[in-house]
Amino acid sequence: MKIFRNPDVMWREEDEYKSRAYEGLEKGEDVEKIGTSVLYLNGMMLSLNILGTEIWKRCEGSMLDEIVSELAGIFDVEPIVLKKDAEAFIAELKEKGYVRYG
Amino acid sequence: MSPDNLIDPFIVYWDINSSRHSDDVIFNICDELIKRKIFVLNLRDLSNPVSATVCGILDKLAGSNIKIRLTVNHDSLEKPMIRNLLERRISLFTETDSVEKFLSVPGNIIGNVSFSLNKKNFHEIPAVISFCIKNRIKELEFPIQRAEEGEIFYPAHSEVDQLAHALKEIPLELLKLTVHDPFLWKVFFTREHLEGMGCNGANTMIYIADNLDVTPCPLLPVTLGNLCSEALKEIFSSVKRRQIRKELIAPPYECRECAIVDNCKGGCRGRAYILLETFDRKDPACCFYC
Repeated sequence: MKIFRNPDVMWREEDEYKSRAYEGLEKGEDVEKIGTSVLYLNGMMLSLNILGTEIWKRCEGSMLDEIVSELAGIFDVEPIVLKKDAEAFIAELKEKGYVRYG
Repeated sequence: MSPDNLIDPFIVYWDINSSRHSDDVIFNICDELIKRKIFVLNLRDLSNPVSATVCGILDKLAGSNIKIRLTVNHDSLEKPMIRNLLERRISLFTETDSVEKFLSVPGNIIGNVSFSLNKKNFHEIPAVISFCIKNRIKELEFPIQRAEEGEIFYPAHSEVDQLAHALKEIPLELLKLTVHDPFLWKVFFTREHLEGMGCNGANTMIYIADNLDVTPCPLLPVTLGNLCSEALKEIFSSVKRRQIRKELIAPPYECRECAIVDNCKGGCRGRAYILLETFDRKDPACCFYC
């Protein structure tokens, strides 16, 4: 199943916080709570951390396994755990209308 | 980055009425809106005819990723101007405060509708909505009141109840509605839309007045700076802006023991500030525990 971003979602990466998160990641710090992008749809805002942002950016017709495979090269997480997290996150985005399956 | 304290706003309200600022100043602001990755620019020009400044801004931002919503006076729409505006990739709204104007010339409605609420026309809301649905208007907005435009209006609780009753007969799902007033939301939308929402003045949104003063919201007249002499980035990263966010994030002192404060966060903080001159009092429009 391919995953597509809802074209009505407006979003941007926050460059300053993105750099901070990647620096922290390299040092092995917990960067989970650093928001690196903001999404806006129908008056509702969503802030994503670095993992969420990287998943979001890949929702352009990719399959879940493709996304997970790409992210495994960036994040030092067990692929099984990464897949589970990514799957849950995308399901949440779908529930909120930010992505659709094609 | 915290969602309560963004680095840059993403919604900008910009009113242009009689402004006579140089093109350089206006274009510098446009450049900064692009650079700061603003999502939505709500331009409003109620002058008649629509000013050249607005056309200049539209030209400057054409091709950018900024979604533009332009509100013009219902009376100011002349055919050449309508054609000019409709050719642009913007959402056009015509503003009025009387349903009679729409009803008398329904074929003349162009684009979307902005219905400015006041004490005299609040009861017209069901008629306006029905009119929009019947005439296939895509979107109806009840715009944010402007602090500088005189009397601050909010409906009595009985009027809100009457409205809720009248709306039961209307298929609201046929129309996109934009309602800014936090206590009118609950009449139109389900409760989950309200969860965790609070004042986003000086966070997701800012307001640029005609004189280029920047305030958190059209209804919160605390000047954070002026774009004639400062950049938006400077204003948004200023101590003053951080202080005002601190005030707005914390619910009003008067609401501290209220059971729904976590949901409403104190309602419209600008309205309370204008009418009561403090951030400590609850929004006068609050209809909980009254």
